[in-house]
Amino acid sequence: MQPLIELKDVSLQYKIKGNIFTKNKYYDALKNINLKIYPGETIGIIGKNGSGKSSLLKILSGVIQPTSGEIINHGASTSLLTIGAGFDNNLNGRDNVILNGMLQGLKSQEIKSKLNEIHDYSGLGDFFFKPVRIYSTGMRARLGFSISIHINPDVFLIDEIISVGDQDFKQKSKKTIYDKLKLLKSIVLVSHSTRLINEMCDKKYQIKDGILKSI
Amino acid sequence: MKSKQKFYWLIDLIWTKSLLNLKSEASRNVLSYVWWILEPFLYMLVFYVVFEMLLNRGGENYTTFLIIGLIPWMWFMKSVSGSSSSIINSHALITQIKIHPVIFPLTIVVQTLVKQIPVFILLIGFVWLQGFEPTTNWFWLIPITILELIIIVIFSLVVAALIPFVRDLNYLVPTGLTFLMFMSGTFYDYKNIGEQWQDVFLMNPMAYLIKCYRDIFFNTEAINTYNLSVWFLISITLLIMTLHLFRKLGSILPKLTIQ
Repeated sequence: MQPLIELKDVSLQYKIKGNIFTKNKYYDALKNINLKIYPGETIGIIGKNGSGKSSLLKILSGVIQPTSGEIINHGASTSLLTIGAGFDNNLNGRDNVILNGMLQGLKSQEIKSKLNEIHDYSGLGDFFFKPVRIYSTGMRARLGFSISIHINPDVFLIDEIISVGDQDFKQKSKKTIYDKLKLLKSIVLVSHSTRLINEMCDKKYQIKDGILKSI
Repeated sequence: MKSKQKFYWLIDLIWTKSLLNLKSEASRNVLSYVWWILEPFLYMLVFYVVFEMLLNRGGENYTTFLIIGLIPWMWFMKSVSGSSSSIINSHALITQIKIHPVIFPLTIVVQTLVKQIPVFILLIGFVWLQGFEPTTNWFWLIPITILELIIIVIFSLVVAALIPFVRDLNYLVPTGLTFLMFMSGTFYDYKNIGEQWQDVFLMNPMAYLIKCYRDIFFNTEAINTYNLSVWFLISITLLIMTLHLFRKLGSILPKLTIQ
């Protein structure tokens, strides 16, 4: 089987310092990472804060280009699930769904036809029509997750999101993820929680100081 | 997606995002959409108080003259200053979703354009009420407005693309815009400057545009079709070059916004 996404010797460097008075300083976020993602796989990546987890997801989603090495995407669509990044706080949930859905590649009619479904799935009730600024963290996470689930990408990239939200929503999102796996969708889940990774993932990795190791 | 489909999606996205941004912006203020008219009015009031009342520099029809200069200027200024930090301000989005950064300055341009429409209508109404009857010459407003839009897009995109590379430029935008405002004859007539400078002065696109707006509304001088065509040719070429530049920068800009 052909992998959906392949990383070959990927390294990523950020410039952290440097102006006319100081020398440029760089920080290696990722060092020579090799990874293949096949259809239907759940990959779990455990790492502490600052270990390079989120950078890896950004590379996989194609948002950031590696400094060296290669990312080969064999035509897979990806969606990075985080806790409602990029929501406009002054707009209500519904408008944010439209905007976010379109930013993730849907046409306006497509996302509008999914509004009811997303509303139901999110379980936000009347809050769906209220400004996002009054949402709790858990509610934002629900909305973000509900959008991405309905966008239906080939590879879900999930950054801690399931650990947010209440018990009911956690159960529901886990069930959805298992359903997606049956459809041969792949999932990359990063977390600092070993328990969550053990419970959900069939391939496990650890990331430490930008180096990825299979465990 | 095919490139044609992708193009329509991009237009659809920019349009939807602009409207939602306007809605979001208006929801924050007590006076909501009234600000679209109120803000340009207050801005003009400043110039009116200084030049007409305090300095007594105005002369006949100065208010009308001032308005015709300032409204197109404000359109340009707001688009460029809004676009300048649009890409770095969207770092949360650009680093989460794979999306071309060009949509952020373009959204600002569209948003400002929408706000500009009622202001332009009021401008036309005001000039008419001042006794300058519309003539067929007023049809020239269409190409002149289109030319201004193209110039706005070029400036907005270039500034938005440069700032992620060198953040310092952000400090230069307000100063640069103020300088350009003084150099564009917004509140004075270019004919008052030394004759040897006039041609150079009109090489500034905003100075040229403001001159054209005044010639049209006051019916003083016919638009020179040759000059206008040259302006169109230059700006369309620059526009294509800018869009090409953005195509190349698309994958570089997101990383720059977080480092």
